[in-house]
Amino acid sequence: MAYLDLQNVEKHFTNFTAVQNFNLSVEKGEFVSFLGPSGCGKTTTLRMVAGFETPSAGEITLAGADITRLPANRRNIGMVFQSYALFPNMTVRDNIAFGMKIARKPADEIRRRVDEMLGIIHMQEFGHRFPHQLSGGQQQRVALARALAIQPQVLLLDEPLSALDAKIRLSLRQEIRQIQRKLGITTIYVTHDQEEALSISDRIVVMNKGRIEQVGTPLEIYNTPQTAFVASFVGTLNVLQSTVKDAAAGHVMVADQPVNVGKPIREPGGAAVAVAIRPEAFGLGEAGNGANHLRGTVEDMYFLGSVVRLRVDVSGYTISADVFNNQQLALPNRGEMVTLHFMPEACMVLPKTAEVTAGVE
Amino acid sequence: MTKRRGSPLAWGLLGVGMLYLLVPLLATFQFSTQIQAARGIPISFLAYNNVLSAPALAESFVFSLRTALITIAVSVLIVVPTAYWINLRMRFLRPVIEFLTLLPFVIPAVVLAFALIRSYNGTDLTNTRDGVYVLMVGAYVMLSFPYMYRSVDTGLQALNIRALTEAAQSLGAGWGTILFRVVVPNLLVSILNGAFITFSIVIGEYTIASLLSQPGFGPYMFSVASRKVYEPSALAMLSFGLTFFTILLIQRLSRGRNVGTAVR
Amino acid sequence: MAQASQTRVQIMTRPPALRRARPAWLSWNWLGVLPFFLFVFAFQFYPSLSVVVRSFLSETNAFTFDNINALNNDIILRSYGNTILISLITAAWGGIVGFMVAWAVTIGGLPHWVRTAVLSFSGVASNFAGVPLAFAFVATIGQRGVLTQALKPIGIDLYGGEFTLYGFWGLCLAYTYFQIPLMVLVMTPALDGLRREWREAAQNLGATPGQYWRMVALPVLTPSILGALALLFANAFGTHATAFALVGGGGGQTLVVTLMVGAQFTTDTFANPGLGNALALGMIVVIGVTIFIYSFFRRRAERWMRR
Repeated sequence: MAYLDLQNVEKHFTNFTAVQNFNLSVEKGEFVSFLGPSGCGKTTTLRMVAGFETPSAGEITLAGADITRLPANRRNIGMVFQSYALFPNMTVRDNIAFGMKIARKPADEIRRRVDEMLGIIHMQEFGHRFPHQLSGGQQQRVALARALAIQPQVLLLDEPLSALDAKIRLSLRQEIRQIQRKLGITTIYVTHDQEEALSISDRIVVMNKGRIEQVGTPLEIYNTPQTAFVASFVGTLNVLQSTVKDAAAGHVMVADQPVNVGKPIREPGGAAVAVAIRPEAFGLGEAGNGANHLRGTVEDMYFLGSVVRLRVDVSGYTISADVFNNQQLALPNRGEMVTLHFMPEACMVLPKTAEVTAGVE
Repeated sequence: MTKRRGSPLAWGLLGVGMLYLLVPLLATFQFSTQIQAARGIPISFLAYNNVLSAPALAESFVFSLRTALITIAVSVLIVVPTAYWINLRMRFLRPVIEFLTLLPFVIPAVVLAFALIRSYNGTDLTNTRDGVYVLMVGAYVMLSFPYMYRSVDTGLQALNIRALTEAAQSLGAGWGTILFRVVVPNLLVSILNGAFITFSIVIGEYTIASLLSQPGFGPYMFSVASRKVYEPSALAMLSFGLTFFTILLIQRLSRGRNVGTAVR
Repeated sequence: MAQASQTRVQIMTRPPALRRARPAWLSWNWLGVLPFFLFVFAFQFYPSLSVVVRSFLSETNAFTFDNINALNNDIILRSYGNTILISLITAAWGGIVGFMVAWAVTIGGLPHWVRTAVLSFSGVASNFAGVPLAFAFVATIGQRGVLTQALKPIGIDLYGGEFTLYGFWGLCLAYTYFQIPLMVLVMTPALDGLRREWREAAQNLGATPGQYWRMVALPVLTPSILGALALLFANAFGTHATAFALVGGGGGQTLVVTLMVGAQFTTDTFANPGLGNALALGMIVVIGVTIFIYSFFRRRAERWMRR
């Protein structure tokens, strides 16, 4: 029995279904992200765990107890909101102490815990400030401390960093992960930013249109996406339309150039199949070991710091290829013909569902 | 916790409040139709007929209408360029303006009328008919100024006036062109909003009009009470209807604003 | 060709205002706001200042407190007392009922069309003051009013005792008519400003709805409520037309201060021209303090709601 269990959870509204067939087991101390575009149901699911929405069907169990219909104020679950939601009429200390005051804890215990929390978020001198005197990042840290002060069984975060500047987002998400590790609190983190989810989660739940597309570690999600949606939503992706030449041997034709996808293809010969390849799978020039080769003309080059992204026109398809920047790099010129090589294993054959948003930048 | 649509408590509280506001209206309507009750006709609109056919009503209403239009014109001519200028160049004056918008509340109509008459005593402004009219219009502009200014100011804020001005200047426009062909057309809704509120204030205004001895609609309405029994309530209903109609127009306009012209 | 048009653009984009190195506050910009300030000065500042100054001057233009002292007169003091009482009472009545209605259409969860209708109606009703309002109340609870007649068969005789529409309590009832909608209009945005996340965060931390209201919502609303009450007080204190239409002319002249000021136009009741100035000064002071209080609370409320 996992620590937090969602079984067959569904949520229907009057004219649409927000969540369906949601099954998930979360272990104690695990950091799980719900990742997906707006409207995919991730926030609704989170709110059902928090108790602000009641599931239309299904069960939610926490540490063995069924909390599906338990009122929100009795679940002992901490929540951090996108808009911080600090109480404007209370100081930082009072905000953090709120949950304990409700629980009628003795005054010195409250004081000790508040001091401890202020230390964890590194805001010891801010105790007597009011929310409107704090920056966005500071407010969010206080919100985190407030949620943790009640020692919840589960911590929920609803896109906590969306309202913040890019730089603060980076540092704060590391901080959140460190605090979570240190306290060992089971955490669910909702975000639409795949980089965020990939960098800090133990596992990611990719959602789309109310359903779970895939659950896995960041590595699994990125390297072995199981649906076209996951492949295109996470990371950038080149999608090439090809025709099957030899299904058993895994040979296809991309326009007039042959490609070996390295595994048998389910579609019959002559069928149209989408082949996806990550930009970093490409290299410049010829290579041995059974590598595939595609020839094309360089359309453009983007210097991204550690990586140089080439846009190459291959038989009418535009491919993004990422090559590492180094001293000996001999970059081709615009308009030059180049050869790109990539291993067959790097090819992902996408199922025929038309969910692919061609994720090429 | 899902929101309770229409909790009984909410309906109950609403009912109490609306009761207080609706009963006088209903009673007034009822009363206004009782004019021929003694003659056995329970509902009659004779009172309305009498009211509307009195020549003095038309005269005083036209007088107030004219005054309202002049007030609106003066108000717009002064407020719009000022609000534009302050938003563009002198934002530090905003607290001063905030203060000035509260002044008409601190100096209510009766005190303003008193102050105007006393302080300009002996000048043309108080000795001539036209002079006193000028005082009245000035007073009305001051009364309506908080609403007009706030309305125009809100409209300007939504417009990002600095970018518009700079764009116009880069295309060669002078101040006049900017004001009349760029700013005002985009502010029309706000201006109309303020104009209707001003209209509503001036039309039925009694205090200043009567204390300055002007033949306005307000003093006329008051005079009816001394002579007739049922006509005043008919007047009250008509007046309420006019204000209602005006405010509805304002609301229609404000809704249109969200749909329309955001020049970016 | 491009060169010429570029220069033309450069010339045209130099704004008519001259740009020199000067302190920021001293510039031709002031010209742009001059008409406005002149107008406000002519029709508000100058008359008001004049009244204030003259209340300290005798007929021979010597400095004196005589006018102010003349306020220390039974009738006048009672008038101020009445006006303050009426303003407090109607602010309270209007405040309570208005708050309830505002709560009902915002947090109370009534359908959206109800809220629109109520707000529109409040906009109209808060303007429905003065002569027509007086007429409406006469038609309702005047001696031959519809409600008065309707209550008789069930044993309530409004005029059986001391009550009269044309007096203190009548004014209270009439003023409340526009105080309620004013409160609704002022409190609705404030109640909207109570973010849903605060309630959810409180719930999340274990609070019952009652605890949330007591510890978060009401404290957050308090500046708005106090500011609104101050506004209602000032509103009632300065009302003239409604009062005049109900009780003015004749004996009612001294019931409220606005009527006394108005009476200075016609009768110079106490044969003391300076008195009018002092009365007006008194009003300005009272309302000025009240509006200051309103302004203070409104700024407080805005500060908290900003994030």
